[in-house]
Amino acid sequence: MRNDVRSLRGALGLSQAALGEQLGVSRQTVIAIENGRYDPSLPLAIKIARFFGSTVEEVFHV
Amino acid sequence: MSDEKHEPGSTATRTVSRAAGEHGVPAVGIGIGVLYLILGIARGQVGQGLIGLAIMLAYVALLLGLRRRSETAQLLNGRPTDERQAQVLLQASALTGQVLAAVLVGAFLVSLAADSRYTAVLSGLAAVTGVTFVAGTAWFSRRG
Repeated sequence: MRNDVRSLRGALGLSQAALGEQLGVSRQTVIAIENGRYDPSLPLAIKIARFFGSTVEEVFHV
Repeated sequence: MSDEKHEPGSTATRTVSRAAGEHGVPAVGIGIGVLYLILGIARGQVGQGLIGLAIMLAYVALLLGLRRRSETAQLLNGRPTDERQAQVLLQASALTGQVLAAVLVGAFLVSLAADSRYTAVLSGLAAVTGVTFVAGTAWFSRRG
């Protein structure tokens, strides 16, 4: 699933590891989400969207 | 939403993970190696027993040495830290089960064709595999 996590992360100047720490996931999971290789669960997707001050629909694109 | 770290994986994964603890997998590996040695000594094959122990110790050392540098090693230590890693372990377990089931059924059929003395054992193992899969499917389909 396409998403804007990488660009949103970059806008905040966060590394993948730092974002993972904030979200409670591993750096590898952040990488997998950004590359569209892994679709997060609903709770994690909501957590990501809220972290960036956005909505799930705005961050993730089906 | 709670700030608590979401505990990864299914109930089964969390249960196994908690039971294994930080040193579960290495301890089991060393235990198996020691068993290899004991059985080797008991069978008068000390060399084979020592080789078995050495292999398991090398495996454990590799896992412990690489767990902070490799996600694969970390997962092989049985410690998923998030939902994706828990899913990776579940997928690997499912693949392992499917391969084992296929190999088992194949071995049973070959042994049956060859009228081998191991046919009864293999058929029993294949039956356990089949029953476990059916029961697991029924159980998890009801639990949602």
